[in-house]
Order: sequence, then C-alpha cells, then structure tokens
Amino acid sequence: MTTKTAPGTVLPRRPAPKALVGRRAWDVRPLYEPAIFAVVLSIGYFVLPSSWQYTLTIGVIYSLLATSLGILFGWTGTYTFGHAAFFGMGAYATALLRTESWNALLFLGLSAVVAAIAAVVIGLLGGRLVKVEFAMLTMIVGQIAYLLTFKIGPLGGDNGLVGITRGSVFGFDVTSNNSFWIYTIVVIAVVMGILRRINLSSFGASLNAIRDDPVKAASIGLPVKGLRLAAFTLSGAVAGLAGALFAQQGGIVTPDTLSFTFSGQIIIMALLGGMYRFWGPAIGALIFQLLSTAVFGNSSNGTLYLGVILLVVVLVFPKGVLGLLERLSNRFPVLGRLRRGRKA
Amino acid sequence: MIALDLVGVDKNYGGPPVVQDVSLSIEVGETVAIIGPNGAGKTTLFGVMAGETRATKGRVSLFGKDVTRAGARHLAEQGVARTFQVARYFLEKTVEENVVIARLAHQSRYRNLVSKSPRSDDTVDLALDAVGLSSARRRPSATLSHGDRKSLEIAMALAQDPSVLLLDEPTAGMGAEDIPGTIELLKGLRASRPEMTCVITAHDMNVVFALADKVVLLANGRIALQGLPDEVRDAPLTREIYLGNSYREDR
Repeated sequence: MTTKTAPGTVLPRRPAPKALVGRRAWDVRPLYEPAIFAVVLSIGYFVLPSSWQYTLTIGVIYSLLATSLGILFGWTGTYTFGHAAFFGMGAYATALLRTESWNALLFLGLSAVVAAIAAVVIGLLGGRLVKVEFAMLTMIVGQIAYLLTFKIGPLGGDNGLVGITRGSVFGFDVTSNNSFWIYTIVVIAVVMGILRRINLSSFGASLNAIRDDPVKAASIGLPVKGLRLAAFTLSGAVAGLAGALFAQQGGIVTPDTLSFTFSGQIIIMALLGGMYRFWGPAIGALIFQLLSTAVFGNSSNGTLYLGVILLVVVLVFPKGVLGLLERLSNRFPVLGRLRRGRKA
Repeated sequence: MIALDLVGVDKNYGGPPVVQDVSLSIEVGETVAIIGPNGAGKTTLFGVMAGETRATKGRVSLFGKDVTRAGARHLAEQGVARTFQVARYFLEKTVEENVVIARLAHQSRYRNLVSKSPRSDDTVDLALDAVGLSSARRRPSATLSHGDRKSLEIAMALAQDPSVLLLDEPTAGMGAEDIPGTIELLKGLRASRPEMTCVITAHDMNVVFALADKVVLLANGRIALQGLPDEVRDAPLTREIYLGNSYREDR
C-alpha cells in the first residue's frame, strides 16, 4: 500500500522527473525514430548485394502496411481480418490511373483517399459491432472486394493490371531501382513520423484508453464509436498508400493483393514484431519479408520452415520481437535503454 | 435546486423489471446513499443515473435537462463522473497517465492529433493529491493495491471536475483497516467541494452513515423507504429486509 496523505493535503511540488507524462516541451521521437529507421535500412540497401534490394523495398512497404494494422490491433484494440482489402484498393486505384503522367506522390494521395473512403463506409456499417463481429464484417467485405476484382472488367480479372509506371516526383525521375528506393524510404519515413506523432498525441492516448477498457472510456466521456471510426479510417488510408507504393514498385497489381491469405500475413507480420509497440509491426514486417524471401525463398519447404518459426514466435513470445527485447532488457540494462525509446 | 431527478423509472432486460417506478430527487450538494440487499437493483439504478443503462420507462433529468436517452459519454460531458464497483481504469498506463486521460476526455482533447503528448496540469495534480496518490504517480497502475485502485478511480473522476459524482461501492473488497481511510478521504472531498452532488451505493453501513445526508432503501427494484440516515436505520422495515435483526445500534 502506498503511503496515504491526509485528504486535501497539498504536497510541496517536487521538480518534475524527466520522463513524466508529456512534461517535456516537445517530444522528438516522431523525428528521430523514422530517421534511424530510414538511415539503417538505406545503409542495408546500398551495402548489401543487389539481390537484397527487391526484398528490402517490398519489406519497407509492408512495414508501413503492418503499422497501419497496428493502429487497429495495437493502438485501438479493434480487430480486422480483411486489411488487405485497403492495400489492394490503394494498389488498384493507382493502377487504374496508370495512363496519367502525374507526380508520383499524387497517386499515393489519391489511393489513400480511396481507401479512406472505403474504410469510412465499412466503419459506419460496422459501427455497432465490436471485437470478433467487426472482424468478421471486415473479412466478408474483404472477400467481396477480392471477388469483385474478377467480376469487374476494367480490373483485369486474374491477370490484374500491368504497365503501372513509377513516374517522377517534382521532376526527379524515380524509375530506376535506386531512385525508387530513396523515394519510397523518404515517403515511408515521413508517414511513419506523422503516425508516431499521432500515436503520442491526445488522440493516440484516447485510442489506448478504448483498447484497455471501452466501458471506462465511455464513462469518462470519450466518444468510443467515433474514435474507433477515426482509427479505422486512418488505418485504411495508410494501407491504401502502402498499396499505391506497391503498385508503383512492381508495375503490376493482381487480385492477390486483396486476398484473405494476404490479410492473414499482415496480421502475422504485426504479431511477429509485437502489436503493442509502435515499431513492432514495422520490424515484424521486415523480419517476415527477409525470412520468407531471402532466407527460405530458394527452398522448396520454405513456407513450412517459416510456418514453424512463426508458431514458435507466437507460442514463446506472444508480444513479438520487441516484447522479447523488453523481457531481455529486464536482465540487461543496456537493452533497456534501447527499448524505452520504442515504447508506444 | 435539483441536480438529479428520476421520475417513474422502470428498467427491465426483457424479463421481469429489475427497477420499478423509482422516483428520486437529489438536491445539489447532497449526498445520497442507496442501500439494499443483493439483487435489489442498486447497480441497475446506478447505471441509469450514469447513462450506461437506458430506462425502459420514466424520465431522468440532470439540472433540469432531460437526459433519459443520453449515453454515458454525454452524461460525462454534462459533469457526471462515476466509479465502478470493481475499479476500472487503464491497466497499461501509469497512475498519472490514467488521470491525465480522464482529464483530456473531459476537455474534449481526444480530437487533437498533433498536440504534444497529453500533459499533467494542476487539476491532475490536485486530484492525485486529494486521494493521496501523488507519490505513486509514476507507478504502473496494474501494481496498485486494491484500495489504491479505488482511490485512483476517484482521482480520475475528480479530474473531470464533476458536478455529480457517482460512487459504486467505494469500499467494496477493502480490508477493514483501509475502510476508515477511505471514509476520511470521501468526507474530505465532501467538505472541499460543497457544490458537488454525490450518490453512493454501499454495503458497509459505516460508510453510509458517515457520509449520507439521505438514505434510500431499495428492495425488489422499488424504493421501500427513503429519509434521513437515522430514520432509515431505525425503521423496522430496514431491519426486516436489509440489516437483519443481528444489526445492533452499538455497531
């Protein structure tokens, strides 16, 4: 039991400890964390053999996608089994506009808007549903979107859409692999920085409150449904943006981008890294991508090995890689310092 | 002036009514205790007052405004703060963060995407001081003792500048040695905030008689009796349906 002071006693104000809730004038994590992310991966990109370049580029795009899922699973406690739908919608939106020769960023923006609109509609439809019921709705909507890609002629059916160009950004050509990497990593670092800012804001804290106890959240006056819808929309928009980057990267989109299987993979990526830390899903996506292509890609049993590794991860450290780091840091203080910067 | 006014409130969950024809007027600044045996409908009635449960029939007004159909969130915006029988708070957060979230909800700052991280302000500090948790502000809330969890919930309610404070079983599950401290704490709150209206449900008669200006005895969903604490305590009916004959004056 904590020592109780007499009611109404005003304690002398102590100097505020450094890490006290938001006492600092400005939280710089949204600035330096994405910068470290971008620099470390870029060093990897340019130092490693060129066979890694594809893996890394897809890996960072998946990082963004998995982070968008983290907004729902990790920040808000809302579950979705159809997240690939937003990624796919973003990819298809960019693909359908492939004949336009706009600034590459414009495609990203439009794809984000398309996916955000879809998310608002689904979020409103499912406004009364929670937990598994809502997850089922997202799964069904995701399957419908997947099937529609086969039924709607202009979407190219099984073959998908090809011939998407990478174009240019403010006159800088981003068609080469190296320039496309720089474009991608800068865009992703900026978006991750914005998301980190949101994660640490009052809005982000309110989402966490809804995750921890929706009944209590409503009783202190938080608009639970409205905040869930806002989180769902934000998440959809970011997934759509990631989808647009994916379309630009490969030049092709296929119905696979919206498939239920892929939705499941996004969840695995986020789980692998740890849902409850801001950087967990992003790191999980990178590990997933490295394991599935670079390490096991050439083996005929690759998927099986990957499956076993994931099973072990989920059973042994359910809070993901960052959760494991946290456990280790209790034993090794050096790691602890590393981790504290990552806490979502 | 009437703070909280219930007129002919019924509540059923599809079956027989849990609360029946309850009419109750609570004056501003008054402390009302609702007592009654288990299953009497105390928690349901409390839910109706907090906006978590919607009355099937009847009317609920807050400071003269009809709030029968308003949800918990709107009532919170109107200045109703509540605690739960089993303390509810945000387990993943520290003590201070919990109070800060209650504060930012009250200030409608949840819309703010860009601001600096939620901050402590004087109201938060005062709320923590008032319940004696200032020294534990940085502790993870999950590590608090049972009594401190209850105190944390009260601090969260205070951070919302409540005009009506609903306390559901403030001493439930507490060890006997913690109860006097909680009573003192609540007495202190009453004294420092005379404008605040308070509704308490309690099993512990020491709490009821130490704090209440008025006691309402609920039985089978109906108000069996209401009046001054001494009147209710001495009424034969109270003994019969609630206190039991073993309850003695000399407690």
